[in-house]
Amino acid sequence: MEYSGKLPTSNVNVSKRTPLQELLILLGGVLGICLIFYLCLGWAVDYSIQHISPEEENELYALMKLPAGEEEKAAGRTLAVQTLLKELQKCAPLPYQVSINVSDSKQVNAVAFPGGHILVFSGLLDQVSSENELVFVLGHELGHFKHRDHLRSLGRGLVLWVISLFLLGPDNDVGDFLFSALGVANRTHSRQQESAADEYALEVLNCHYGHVGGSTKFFEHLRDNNQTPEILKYYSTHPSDQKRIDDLNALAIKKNYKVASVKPWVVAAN
Amino acid sequence: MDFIIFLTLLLLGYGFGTWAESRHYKSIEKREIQYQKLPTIALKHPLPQKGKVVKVKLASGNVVISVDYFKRFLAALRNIFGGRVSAYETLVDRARREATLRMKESCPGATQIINVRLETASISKNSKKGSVGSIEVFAYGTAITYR
Repeated sequence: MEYSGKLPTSNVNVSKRTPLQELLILLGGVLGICLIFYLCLGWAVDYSIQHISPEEENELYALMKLPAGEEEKAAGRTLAVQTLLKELQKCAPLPYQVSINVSDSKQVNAVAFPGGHILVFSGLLDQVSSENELVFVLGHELGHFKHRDHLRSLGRGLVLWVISLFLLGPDNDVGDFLFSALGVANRTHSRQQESAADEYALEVLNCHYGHVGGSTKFFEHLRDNNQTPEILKYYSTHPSDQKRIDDLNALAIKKNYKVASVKPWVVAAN
Repeated sequence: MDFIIFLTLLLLGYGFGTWAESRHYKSIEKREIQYQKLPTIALKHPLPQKGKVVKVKLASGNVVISVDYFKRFLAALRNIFGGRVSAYETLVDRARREATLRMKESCPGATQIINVRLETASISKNSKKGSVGSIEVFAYGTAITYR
C-alpha cells in the first residue's frame, strides 16, 4: 500500500456555529431564567415583609454592624431635630421606635437605618433654608420606614445572591456578570422606592403644615450642585433631581395641596 | 463599574482571541501542507519502505495554549445548559495540530514517524479566580530515517 499524504478537506472537530451566535443564545436563556426567578422571588419578598414585625426586624439587623457616625458636638440642633421628629410622628404613625441623631459630616444627606434610626448629617442642616425643607427630608426617611424599604432591599439582595450562588457557585465570572445585570434591575426598583418615599414625605408635609411649600427646595439645591454625567444616571439608585421635582409638583396639583410661605429654619450650629 | 470592566475584558478576549486564532490557523495550514509528504501514523510498525534504516529517534512536540476570557465565559455559560462546548473545540484542535507539527519539525529529514501518540493535560484545572485555564498537548512518536 502506497502512502499518500492528503490533508482533510474539512475540519470535523470544530463546530460551524459562530461563537457570538452561541453567546447570544446562551446569554438570553440564562438572563431570562434568572429574571423570572428574580421577579417571582421579589414578589415573595414583598409579600413576606408584611409578616415581619419591627421587633423581628430589629433582631435581624442586630446581627449586622451598621455605621453609627460621629455625633455632632453641639446638642442644640440635635434637640431641635428630635423635637421636630416627635411632632412629625403625629402625622406619620409608624410601628417603630423612631429616633434621630445629627452626625458631624459635610455631606448634604440623611440616612434611614433599619430599626427606626435616622441619621442627619450636619451638612444638610447647614444648607436647609426652611423648616419645611427639613420636614420633607425627614418625611422621606419616615417613608422608607413606612414602606419597610430596608427589608425589601435586603430581601432582594439576598434573592440575587442566592440565584447566583445556586446556579453558578461562588466566585464565578458568569455570576459576577449576572449580579451586575440584575443589579441594574434592582436599581430601578430602588428608584421606585425613592419615589414612593417622596410621595409619603409630601403627605407628611401637608399634614404637618397644612400646605406643601418648600417641598422641592432640597432637590432644587441638589440639582444645581449636581455634576453627575447624564449617562451614569442609569446606574443611579435615586431618580434624577429634576424628575423628583417634577413628580412632586405634579402630585401636589393632583392632590390639591396648597402652597404657602415657609417657616424659616433658625437653629444655628451651636 | 464591575460591569464595565467585565465588558471590556469580554470584548478584549473576543477581539484578541479571534485575531490570534485566525493567525494560528493560517500558520498551521501552511505548515501542514509543507509536511504533507511525511507519513505520520499511529501504527506500531513502519510502512514498507525501500532502503536502509540509518536513524531512529524519539520525536516529540509540545504546546500550551491558553483560553481567552470570552471563550471561558462562553464555556461557563455552556456549563449551565450542557451540550457541545464549541468554544473550546477550536482551542483543542489548534493545540493537537500544533503539537503534531512541532513533533514533525523536531526531526528534519525523517522518512516517517510511527506509533504517534497524543497526550493532553489541562493546566490550572481548578478554576480559581484569576487563574488562567490552558491546555497542554504533547505529541510523540518514533521517527525513522531511511537512506
